[in-house]
Amino acid sequence: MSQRYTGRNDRRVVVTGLGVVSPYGRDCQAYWQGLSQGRCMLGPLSLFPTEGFRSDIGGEVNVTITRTLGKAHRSRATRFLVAAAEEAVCHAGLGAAELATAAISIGGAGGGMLEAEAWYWAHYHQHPERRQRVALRSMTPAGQTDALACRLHIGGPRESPILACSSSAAAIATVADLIETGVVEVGLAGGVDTLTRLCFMGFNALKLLDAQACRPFARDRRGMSLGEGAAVLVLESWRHATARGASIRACVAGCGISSDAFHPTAPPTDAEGAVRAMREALARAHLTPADITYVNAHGTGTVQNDRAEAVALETVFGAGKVLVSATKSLIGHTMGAAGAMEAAATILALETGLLPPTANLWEPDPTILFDCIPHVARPCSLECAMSNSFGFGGQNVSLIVLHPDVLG
Amino acid sequence: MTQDEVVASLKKLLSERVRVPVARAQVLELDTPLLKDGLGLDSLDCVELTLGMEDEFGLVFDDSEEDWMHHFSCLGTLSQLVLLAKGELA
Amino acid sequence: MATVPAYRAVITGIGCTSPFGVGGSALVADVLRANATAIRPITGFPTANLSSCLGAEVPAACLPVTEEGRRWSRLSQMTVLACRQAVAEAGLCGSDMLNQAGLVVGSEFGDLRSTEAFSLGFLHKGPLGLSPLLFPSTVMNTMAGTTSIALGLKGPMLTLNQAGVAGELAIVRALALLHAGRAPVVIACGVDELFPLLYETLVQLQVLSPRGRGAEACRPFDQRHNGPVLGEGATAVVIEAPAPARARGAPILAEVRSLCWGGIPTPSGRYAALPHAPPQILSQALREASVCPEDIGLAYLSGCGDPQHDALELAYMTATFGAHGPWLSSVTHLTGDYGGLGAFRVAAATVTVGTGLAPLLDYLCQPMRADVRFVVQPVAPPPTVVLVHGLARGGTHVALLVGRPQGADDRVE
Repeated sequence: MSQRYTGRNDRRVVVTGLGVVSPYGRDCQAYWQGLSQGRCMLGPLSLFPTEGFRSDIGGEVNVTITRTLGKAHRSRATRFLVAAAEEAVCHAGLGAAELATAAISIGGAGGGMLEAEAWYWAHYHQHPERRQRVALRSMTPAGQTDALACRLHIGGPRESPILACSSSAAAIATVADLIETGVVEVGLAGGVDTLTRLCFMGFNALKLLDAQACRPFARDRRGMSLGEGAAVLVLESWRHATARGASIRACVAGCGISSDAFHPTAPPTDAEGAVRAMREALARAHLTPADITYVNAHGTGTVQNDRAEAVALETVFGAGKVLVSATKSLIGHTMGAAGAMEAAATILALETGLLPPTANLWEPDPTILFDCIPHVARPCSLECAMSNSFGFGGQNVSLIVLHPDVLG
Repeated sequence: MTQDEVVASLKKLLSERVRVPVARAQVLELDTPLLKDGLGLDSLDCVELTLGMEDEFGLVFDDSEEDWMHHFSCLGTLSQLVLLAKGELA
Repeated sequence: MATVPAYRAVITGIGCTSPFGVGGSALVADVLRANATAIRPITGFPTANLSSCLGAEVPAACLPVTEEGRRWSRLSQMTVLACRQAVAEAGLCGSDMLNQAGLVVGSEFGDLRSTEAFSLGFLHKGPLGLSPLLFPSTVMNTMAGTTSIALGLKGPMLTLNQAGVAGELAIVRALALLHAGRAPVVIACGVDELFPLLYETLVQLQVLSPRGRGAEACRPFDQRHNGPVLGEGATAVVIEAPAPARARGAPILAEVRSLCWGGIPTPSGRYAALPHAPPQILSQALREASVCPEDIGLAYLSGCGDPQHDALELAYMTATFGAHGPWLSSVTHLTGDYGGLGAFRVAAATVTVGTGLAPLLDYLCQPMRADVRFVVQPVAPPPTVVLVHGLARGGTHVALLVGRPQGADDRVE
């Protein structure tokens, strides 16, 4: 472990709050309990009809949870996001003054598309209801960001980054940049996505979904499973956090962002874009590959992606040199929310000294030369971890997080 | 169905589904390469064509085999795939 | 509210796919000089049953079918063409710098045409009617992804979604990427297209002019304003740090002197209330650039003909500059309004500081306020610092100051 992080650097970016809405429940505690127990939440979908499609399962947030999430007339995505953000802000102890100048960046791919689809389906069948038009107001992802900014009275720089599967990881990276470069002291970074007909139909059409629960890194893996959720991180400069006596949960030490410039849906076989993103994160964190103990993988469960990711990890770290697990095996691919939800899982792993497992890994792929922590969470006291998101269209984001004890 | 009929339908699919210009599709020979070294179709095009063929010919394909893309090498191999699936070939 | 502190960047290339054609800074100069609107009755889709029929469309001739673009959506093609033009103007074609170049695309609605086409496939025919090829275009990052592949851009690539100020935000984020040392050069692009169902829905919601009040027209800041008229287009600018740009002999079209951006917490879809005090964003942008209000020769406003938007923006101007502040201009009456238009405003500001050209708001018969100065004849002396101001429904607020390059030999004639 490099000694550099024991030195003082008041513009380091730290995490002071976390909030998650997941199929396990409406908060971090439920999230971590489910992940650490290795409970796979992939089951039959009920949000919309699934007849005629090869895969009809996913990680759906059930109605028992959604009922607790605030006003029903808001879009599902807004309700998830507000709940996650309020938990994060509450745990961080942020007040009105901090929020007034805080940055906010919420990644997402679908926005309020679930409700917009319902409007469009009714429009197509020529029985549109005027009141359903209100659904269109929050159709785009920026609608969720604006709604959250209004709810929490956030007045700083506002963005809604869309990088497909890497959206919320990019939100974290770009807010971290704003803090490191002195633009803001505090920022909310995260993401939200709900299950949508569009996403469900699209990944089915691309034949990228497994008819069973996904099996990342397994020999017989056949594709992804869809999911939904939200996660929000409160990021601050170390100086600001310590000055107000905030409890520091982790340090975002470095982030890498790169593009493959290769293909709309497939990664290059040498995974060179993913390699660059990881190396950039390490360089910015002033760390070496040997400093990383655990990688929370993108790990979708498709034949191509998992293979490419393994190549990337081997190139950067060497075969077998890091522990790896795939959160998507437990809750599915939460699209734009995945980066933030998996960053949250990584931070919770650092805090608890317990690495979440990869579910459904009955027969690991022998060509993937990493211990992918099958089924049972692994006790492991660690200082540095990485969380990767490698999005559709070749958009790669790699985040490195440190245990707060390392900050010295 | 005869091979000529299948090939005619495949040419239509190439235009309608993966946007190969009609004039270009019409002059394709049975052995004209369709993939990287020829027409330039890639994996995404092949997924689109597979769905198109399922719709057009009323078939279901299992595209999980390792060298599935080999069937898309040329119209000759692709039409053979369709004819075999329709039981028109031994 | 925040600024990117003490960081200057230069604009070295412009590219547009627009109702006026495809081109770079020369095209923008022609547009400003001619001051001729591209708004006319829409021909690309039927409007006969609607109470609005106007728009500014990119002609089909500007978007030819090509082998390279076989799978590109219309919106992606617009983006690729604009970015390619900007890269060419910046002298970066074939440059190794593109391997590290960043790309930020701002859009309000993304590729809804592809989203609808994909959905219709299912609604017509069930699962067999779906098009895997179309699906990637339903995610808003498709334009950036397509452009990065076409131009070989391997640095950080982001798509930013926002109503109203998507173009400005792309440029702001590009500057932030430069400031964070993530790329030596960033291409920032604002893009949106006309989409028939959206147009029809906005008409039914009485969002577009004429809203049942008077003639349909695009008249920002005129008392007769009765809603926006939509347009479409893609505008890209190449942004770099000044010293490396000069070292490689890049054409320096303009400098970004400062930028300030933030948001006023506002219910989604609504405009902020009229201010009681000068908005901090504008005054902070002036402070960061070390300029006085009197130094701002001209401001490009985002007012679109929505009465609330127009009133709010003019209130911000008078609160910051007092009566008779900078000359106020706009491009909206020429281009129509869309979320990515702010990038075109920045391109226009770039050309203005180089040439003195600015659009004349010759449609103004009954200006909303008498205590501001609208550009109705050529501005003299030519402004050396121009404000680009963006306001969005939902509260996002952006101010950029674009200045003439420091150094006589950097001027664009």
